[in-house]
Amino acid sequence: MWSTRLFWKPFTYFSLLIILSSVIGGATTIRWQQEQIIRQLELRLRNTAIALQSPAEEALAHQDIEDFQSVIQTMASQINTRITLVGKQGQVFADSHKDPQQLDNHGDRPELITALKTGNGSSKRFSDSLGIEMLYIAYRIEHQGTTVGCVRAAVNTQQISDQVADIQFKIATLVLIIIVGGLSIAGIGISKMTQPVVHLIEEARELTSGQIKKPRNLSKGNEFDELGQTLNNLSKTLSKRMRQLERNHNELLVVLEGMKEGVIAVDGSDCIRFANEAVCRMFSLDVKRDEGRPIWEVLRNQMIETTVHKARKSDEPFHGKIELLTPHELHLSLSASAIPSSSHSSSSKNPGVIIVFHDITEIHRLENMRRDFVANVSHELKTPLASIQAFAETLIDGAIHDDDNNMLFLTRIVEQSDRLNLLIQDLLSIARLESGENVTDFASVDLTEIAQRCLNDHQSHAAKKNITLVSNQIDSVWVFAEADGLTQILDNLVDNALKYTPEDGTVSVNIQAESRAVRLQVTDTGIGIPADHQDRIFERFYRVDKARSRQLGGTGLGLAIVKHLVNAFGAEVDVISAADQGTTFQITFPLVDDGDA
Amino acid sequence: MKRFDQELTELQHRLVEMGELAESMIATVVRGLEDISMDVSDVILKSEDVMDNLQVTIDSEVVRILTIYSPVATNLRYVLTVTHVTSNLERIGDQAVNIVELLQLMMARSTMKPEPRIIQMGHAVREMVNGAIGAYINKDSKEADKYRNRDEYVDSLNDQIMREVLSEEVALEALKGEPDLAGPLAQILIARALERVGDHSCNICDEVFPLVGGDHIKPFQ
Repeated sequence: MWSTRLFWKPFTYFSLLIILSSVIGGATTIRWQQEQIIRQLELRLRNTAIALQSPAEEALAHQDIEDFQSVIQTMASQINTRITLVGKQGQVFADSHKDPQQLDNHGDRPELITALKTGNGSSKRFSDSLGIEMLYIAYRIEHQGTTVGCVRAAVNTQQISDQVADIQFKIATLVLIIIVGGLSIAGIGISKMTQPVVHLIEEARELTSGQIKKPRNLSKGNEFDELGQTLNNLSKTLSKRMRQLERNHNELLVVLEGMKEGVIAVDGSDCIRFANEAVCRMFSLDVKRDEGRPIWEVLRNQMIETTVHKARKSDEPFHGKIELLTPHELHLSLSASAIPSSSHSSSSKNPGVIIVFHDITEIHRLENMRRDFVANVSHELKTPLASIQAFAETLIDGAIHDDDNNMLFLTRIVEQSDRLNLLIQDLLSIARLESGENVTDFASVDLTEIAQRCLNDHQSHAAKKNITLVSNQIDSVWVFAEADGLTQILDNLVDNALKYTPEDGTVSVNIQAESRAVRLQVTDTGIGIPADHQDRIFERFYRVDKARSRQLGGTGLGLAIVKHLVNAFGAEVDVISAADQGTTFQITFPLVDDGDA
Repeated sequence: MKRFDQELTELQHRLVEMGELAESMIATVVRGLEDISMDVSDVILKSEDVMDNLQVTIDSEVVRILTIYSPVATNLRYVLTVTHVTSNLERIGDQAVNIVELLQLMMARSTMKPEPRIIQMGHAVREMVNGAIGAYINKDSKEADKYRNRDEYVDSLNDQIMREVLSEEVALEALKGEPDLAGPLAQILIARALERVGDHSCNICDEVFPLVGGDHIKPFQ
C-alpha cells in the first residue's frame, strides 16, 4: 500500500500544505514575538528613564550625586538595567554598573547626542564601557528650562536574544509537533481512504488474469465498499461463466475428438487452429507439429486450399470431394464453411474456416459395385438372349428346312434358355438371400449326409473329366443350418471345383469336427486364384478370367450365393489358394451337439 | 523484417504448389498406365506448362529475395535450396510427359500392356515424390532419409523389368520375324523414366539435410 501512487500523491500534497502553513505560521509568530519583546524592553527602558528624570534633575540640581548613585545601583540590580546619568557636556555623573570616575566622556554617544537635541534618543550598539552589545534609551533632563544632562537606561541585548531564542525554540517545537501530528493524521486518513481502492485494484487485476478467488467479505459502507460489492458479484458471475465455458469447451472437445468425421479449423491467414484425431489419421498429421502452420503447407492439396478460399468468400457451406492417395487411399467428401465472425472483431475481413471431412471410401466402393452389378446383369442377360434371337432368326430365314442343322439350332436355343433360366434363378436366390427372407427354418442337419448326396450327384460329371471325387468323413456331423441352403453351398463349391480342375485332377470334400467348430473343406487341384483376386471373388459377377468362366457356363453368382448363405448360417468362409496350385474353400460352422434333432 | 517473412511464406506456398503439381502429374500418369488410356495426356501437357511457369516464377522470386533482402544463415540456405528443388520438380514433370508419350507409342505400335511391375514402380515413385516434398517442407531429415532409401527398391524394379523384357520377349519376337520392338522399348523407357523420377525425389530429399544440419550429406557419392 505504501508503494501506491494513490497514497503518495494526496499525501505529498497534504504534507506540503501542512509543512508550509505551519512553517509560515511559526515564522510569522516568531517575528511578531521578537518585535513585541523589543518593543516591551524599549518601553521598559523608556519608563525607567522617564521615572528617573525627576530624581536625576533633583540630584543634579542639588549636587547630590552620591545618593543618586546608590539609588540607581539598587534599582539597576533589581530591574537588571544599567542606568547612567550624564552631564550636558557628556561627563558621567553616576552609573549603576561602573565607577563614574573611571568612565570617559560620553558626549560622543549617538543616543545622548539625539537626546540632548530632541529630548530622547535611542541606539543599539556595542558598549565601550562594558564590552557587550546594549540597547540604550536616553532622556534629556531639564532644570528650570535649561538642559542639565541626560539620564540613560540600557539593557543588555543578550537578554533580548535570550528571550527571543526561548520563544523561537518553543514555537519551533510547536511547529514540529503540528507537522508530525498533521502528517500522521493525513497519512492514516489517506491510507484509510485508499486501502479499499487498492484492494479493489488487486481484485480486478486477479479477475483479468483469470484467477478468481473467493470474494472478500465487505462491510456495507461508503461508495468504495459498494464498488467492491459490485466487483465481488462480477467475479462470482464471471467465475460461473468461466466454469460453464470450460465445461462447454471440454464437451465440445470430446465430441470433436470422438467424431468419425475429420474436423479441421483454420484461421484468417490459413493457419491450422484445430485438428481432431480423425483428421490427423486421414492425413497423418502431427497436431503438435502442425498446429499453427498454414494448411497448404501441411495438407498440400490444391483442392482443399481452393475449398477454403471459396468457403471464405461465400455465406453458404461449400461441398466437394477429394481423392487421397497418401498416406492411405481415401475418398473424402468435404464441406467447408466460414466461421461467422462478430462484427467488431478485427479479423472480420478474413474469417476462419471449418472443414469437415467424411470418409466415403466404403460408400464409393459400394457404389462402384452396384454400378458394376447392374452393368453385369444386363450383360449376362443379353448374351444368351442374343444367341437365342440369332438362332431363331436363322431358323425363320429358312434354316428350319435344313434338316442337317435345324435340330442343332433348336438345341442351342434350349441350351441358352436353360442358361438364362439358371441365371434368373440365381439372381432370384441372391435377391431372396439379400432380403434375408428364406433362411428361417433352421434345424440340426447332418452335414455328412448332404455332402455324400452332393458327391453322388456330381460323380458322373467328375467321371467325364476323369477327376477323382473323394470325401473323408463317414460319421455323422451335425450343424445348425438349413438343408436346402447347405446343399446349394456344397453344389456350388463342388461344381466350381470340377469346372476349374483340369482332367485327371482330384476334388476332395473334407469334414472335420473340432472341439468348437465344424470345418468343411472343398479342395481341388485346379488352376487356383491369384492372391490379388481373392478378396473379390465373393462379389457378384466377379470373375478372375471372364472369357474362361463364361465358356464354362458359370453365372458368376455361385460364390456370392455361397457367401450369403454361409453368413445366414452364422458360419464363415475362407479361401486358401495360389495360382496353379489348387484352391481350398473352407467353411467354419459353429458347433452344435451330436444327434440333437 | 515482417515483409521478408511474408515473402518467404509466399515462396514456400508457390513451392508447395509446384510439388503438389509434380505429385499429381505422376499420379495421373500412373493412372494412365493402369487404365492404358490416353485420357490423361491433355492434363499432363497442361500441367507441364503450369509447372514451367511456376519454376520461372519461383526462380525469379528467389533472385529477387536474394538481392533485396540478402538473407543470412538458415534463411539463406533455404532460399538457395529452393532453386534446386524447383529444378528437380520441373524434371519430374518432364519425365511425366515422357511417360505419356511412351504410353502413346506403346498403344499405337504394340499390343503390349505396361507390366504390373511398372505400375508397382509408379506407385512407389509417386509415394517417393510425395514423401520427398513432405520431408522438405517439414524440414524432417528422418523422413528424407526414409524416402531416399526407397530409391533402391525402385532401382531394383527397374533392373528386373529391363532383364525380363530384354531376355525373352524381344528375342522371341525378333526371331518370329514380326518384331514388336515398340512395346518392349516403351516398357524399358517408361521404367527408366520412373526411375529418373525416383532419383529426382532423392535429390529433393538431399536438400533437406543442409536445411536441418547445415551440411551436405551425399552418402551415395
